[in-house]
Amino acid sequence: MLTTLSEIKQTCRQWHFWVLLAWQDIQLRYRRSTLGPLWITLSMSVTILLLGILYAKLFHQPIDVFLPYLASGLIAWGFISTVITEGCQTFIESEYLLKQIKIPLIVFCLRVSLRNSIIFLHNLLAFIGVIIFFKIVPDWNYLLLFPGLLLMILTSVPIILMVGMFCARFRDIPPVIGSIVQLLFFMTPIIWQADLLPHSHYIIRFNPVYYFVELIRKPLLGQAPSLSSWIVCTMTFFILTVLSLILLKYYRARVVYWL
Amino acid sequence: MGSHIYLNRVTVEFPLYGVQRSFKRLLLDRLLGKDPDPHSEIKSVISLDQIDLDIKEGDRVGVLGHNGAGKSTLLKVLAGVYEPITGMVSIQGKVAPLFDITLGMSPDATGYENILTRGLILGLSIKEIRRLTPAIIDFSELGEKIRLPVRTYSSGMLLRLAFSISTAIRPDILLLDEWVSTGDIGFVQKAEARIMECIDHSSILVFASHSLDQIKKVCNKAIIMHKGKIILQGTTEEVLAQYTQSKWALG
Repeated sequence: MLTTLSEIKQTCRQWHFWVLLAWQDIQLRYRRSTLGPLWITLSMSVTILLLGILYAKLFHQPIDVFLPYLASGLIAWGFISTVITEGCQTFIESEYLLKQIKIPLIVFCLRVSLRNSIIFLHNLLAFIGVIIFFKIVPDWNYLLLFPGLLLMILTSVPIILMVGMFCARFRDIPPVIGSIVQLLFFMTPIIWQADLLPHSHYIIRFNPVYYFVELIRKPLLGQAPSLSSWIVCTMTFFILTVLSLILLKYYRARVVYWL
Repeated sequence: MGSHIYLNRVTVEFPLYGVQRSFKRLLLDRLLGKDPDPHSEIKSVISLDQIDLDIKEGDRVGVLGHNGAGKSTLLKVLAGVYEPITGMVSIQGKVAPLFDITLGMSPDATGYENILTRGLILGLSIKEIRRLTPAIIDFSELGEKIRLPVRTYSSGMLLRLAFSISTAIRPDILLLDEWVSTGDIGFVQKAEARIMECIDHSSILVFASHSLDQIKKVCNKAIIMHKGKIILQGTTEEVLAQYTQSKWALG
């Protein structure tokens, strides 16, 4: 465990490395494109617009209530879903690097997390359009976005590690995770409003993703996330961190043999 | 604190996963209580077999052996890439593996940006990279082209840049898998001098090569590997004498 912890400490001190890797990943996707990373914002805006209009009609909901609800949920979901699906490839995509030089595994997890956090921030810009159009007035609850976002980003790191290690060892898992994530999208109140079901309903109550989405969605809608959201998310973070530290301890050295 | 490499009974075994890569298969087998098919047991390749090695400060050790003998795997263990299944590895000193001198370079980034990336991968701090950058650009002879994306370089230019960055470091322990040199007639002499300077500044060199001449030129000690074991260790003269004599015996 000492080696694992000292590796984590070293990784935090040498943060330039994984920050640069994450930044390069993003530059690679958008170099030589007209809008650059603003394509991300544009694409999210179009999705929000089209899905918002359609589902508001289907669910017979007033658009000025539904669209901000959908937009904030989609933006949060974008981060969560991508972090899980891209997390599968964390170590597989860096096979060459891992086999040439010693790099702590956590570096790659931080890279995936940071790259998706930057993309999340670009997606968040799309919500500004929603604020302007529906004349939402940001209030003090918007400040709660910062701790909520921090908690969500921190929790993504152990998730990426576990999913990445699992998929490095068992190569038939990535499509399975892809399917599970797709299902989760429909099981989580994003395109349908949570108050369509009583809160005690198991699909909402036992769905950890719901609580993380709430951490982002509630502040954006000018409300404070409920206490249960904070408790569930914090507990999830601690449990996942402990689990991934255990996994690292036993399998840290094995991952490169699996590649 | 001097540099030191100490390996004790180090064994590296690579599992060959066939259908074990499938989680669904694993689950199904467990659930059905199937006896594992003897043919589906995980086969493995023993790449390093009970290696003992003691390299002290000042040693330049040449590693000889046929393809598949384990030279590269040994170097990777020294680089910290593979932690052995059994045995102990104790390394004191900062290690710089120079297996792929272009490692970490990105074609869309400029030469300047690539110096940063490559430098970070080599373990340099941002301050050190900034300090070394002018000399690196100077040595590469790229001039203003350093600001262009690397995909516009010729392969020679790319290698000159990679070489320049890679030999700017001053590690305690230098690992080479085959000799690193590059360039046309004009550059190659400069390059040879530079890599020798890099070696002279390091406390320990471990150099795997097929070239007996290179090993004779650079190393004071040598080892011969065969099928994952070290079959001969000693000074360069002793080992090379035996190697050429019994080369036919090794097949």
